Amino acid sequence: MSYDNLKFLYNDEISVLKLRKLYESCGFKKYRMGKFESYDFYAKNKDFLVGNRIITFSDLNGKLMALKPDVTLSIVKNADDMKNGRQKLYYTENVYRESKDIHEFKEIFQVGLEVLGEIDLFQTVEIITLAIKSLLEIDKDAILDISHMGYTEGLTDCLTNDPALRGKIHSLFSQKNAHDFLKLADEHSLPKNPVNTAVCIMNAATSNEDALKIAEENALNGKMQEAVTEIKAIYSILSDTGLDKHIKIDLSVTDDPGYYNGILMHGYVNGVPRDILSGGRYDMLMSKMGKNGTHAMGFAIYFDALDRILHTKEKNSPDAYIIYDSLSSPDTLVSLTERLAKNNISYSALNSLPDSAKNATVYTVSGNEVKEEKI
Amino acid sequence: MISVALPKGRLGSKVFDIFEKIGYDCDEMHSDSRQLIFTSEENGISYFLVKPSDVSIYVEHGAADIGIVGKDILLEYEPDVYELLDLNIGKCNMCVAGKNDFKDNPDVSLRVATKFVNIAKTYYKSINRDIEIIKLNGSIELAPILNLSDVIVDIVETGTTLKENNLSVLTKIIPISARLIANKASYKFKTDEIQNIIRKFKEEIEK
Repeated sequence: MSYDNLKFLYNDEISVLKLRKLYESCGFKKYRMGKFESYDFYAKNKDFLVGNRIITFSDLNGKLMALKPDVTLSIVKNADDMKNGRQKLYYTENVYRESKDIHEFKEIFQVGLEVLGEIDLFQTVEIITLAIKSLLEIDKDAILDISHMGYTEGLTDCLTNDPALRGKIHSLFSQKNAHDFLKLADEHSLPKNPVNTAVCIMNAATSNEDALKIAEENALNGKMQEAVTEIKAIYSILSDTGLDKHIKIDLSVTDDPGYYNGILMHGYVNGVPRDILSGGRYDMLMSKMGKNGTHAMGFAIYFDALDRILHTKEKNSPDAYIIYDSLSSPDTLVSLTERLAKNNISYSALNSLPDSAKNATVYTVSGNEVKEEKI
Repeated sequence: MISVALPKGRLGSKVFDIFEKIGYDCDEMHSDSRQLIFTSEENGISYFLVKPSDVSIYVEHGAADIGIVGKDILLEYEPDVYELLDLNIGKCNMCVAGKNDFKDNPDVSLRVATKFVNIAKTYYKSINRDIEIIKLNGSIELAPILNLSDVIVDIVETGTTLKENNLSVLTKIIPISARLIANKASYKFKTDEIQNIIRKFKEEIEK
């Protein structure tokens, strides 16, 4: 069935249906969660959340509750012990977060998936493939940024053990700010070799092959080498599928090492100024939640950023306008609307034609007479 | 086509001169028209001039692919952008300044007048000093003179205004200069073009 023929659906709804079909076809089961969760639960894992603010309220028993700011945490909390198996879940949910731009809370619609349990190379490639295909369902001009926490953490290990300094370094990596990183390195007399590596990584290569070559040549310890080996294996498999043209390997991208430990992903589509997909491997979160030995990887797509490209004005306009007044015959009107509905023609029955009406058929009903014209 | 947000004023002109030198000239920029956007199809570039503090907003929201902005604005608003190059022009310092005879009394919270609220808060938090922020939008130097505040946190270029008002720099917080920033998504889709500009800029400013 083609969703595009269902004219009443908006593009974002079509995208969600396509994503659901994509995930279901790969064996993912829909996970439906409650709207509220105990505030305590989020307070303990605040660092994992985007933004610090949470909407709270007291429930009927006086317990402090929160409108969920995140889906992954709840999925992980409720996941079964997956030491010897695998759970593949996807969700379509609203989350409630603080908006940096307007200093207000915002409802954000998210679609995402999580794999909990055994994660091998095939599973990792499947998730990355699904991330790329998800982006392509939204726009054909899509890029998935791939990085590896092992590489940035291994590199930072070579630079310093000071947690505050590590934080500053990660923030400069994320900004690709090599000039301020060099000043910081100078101030703190950081070792020359890893400093040079960091600068190489920030000044990203234009091709993935070059990026991998630079990463491999500059791997300074086992952690970095392991990360390169994993990314190389993934890239080689994806190259055979032709999806490699939608990948950008950028090893300067990093995240909170307290939660993430392997592949990191950020997805972009042309025309949207920020990433619309984010995710990665988060075994550390599993450990924090007492699920030691269970691995996890997933991603989420944020639909709030997609409004402008998915919502087209034309979609809101009906195919036909029925213009009627008090003298128009109700029988004629009902029979006309029935006929239009049967032919899958959307209509709007009004007393006068709106100024915005265009590319539609206008049916003017006077008494029992129906006059038809195109505009 | 790369779109560039330039800050209005001296810094913007200086930066445009560099763009011209490295091959991104735009004839429309030299005309006296009231145009807001200046495009050179031939060089694949378009420029627009905006208030210096708005440059990072245009870039973060993708209205411009790249922009030139002072480090003070980046520290204050912390936009989610790539900071790709220090142009080493428009140099000045973010400073704490006060009356020439100012003596800090650690027993009371310090009244700090500034338009850089985030920078001031971060700085005083780093030295564990209790402060009260007075947000002003201009003529910051007036605040200690009229006893509105004990000190100010502001940009100091030459120090002449401070000197003429019997004020002096108490602490240099951080050096400021112009930076080239890029929208993160634009950088993904226009990597080659943006890196080309960065490379040419580097060569020009290192001359």
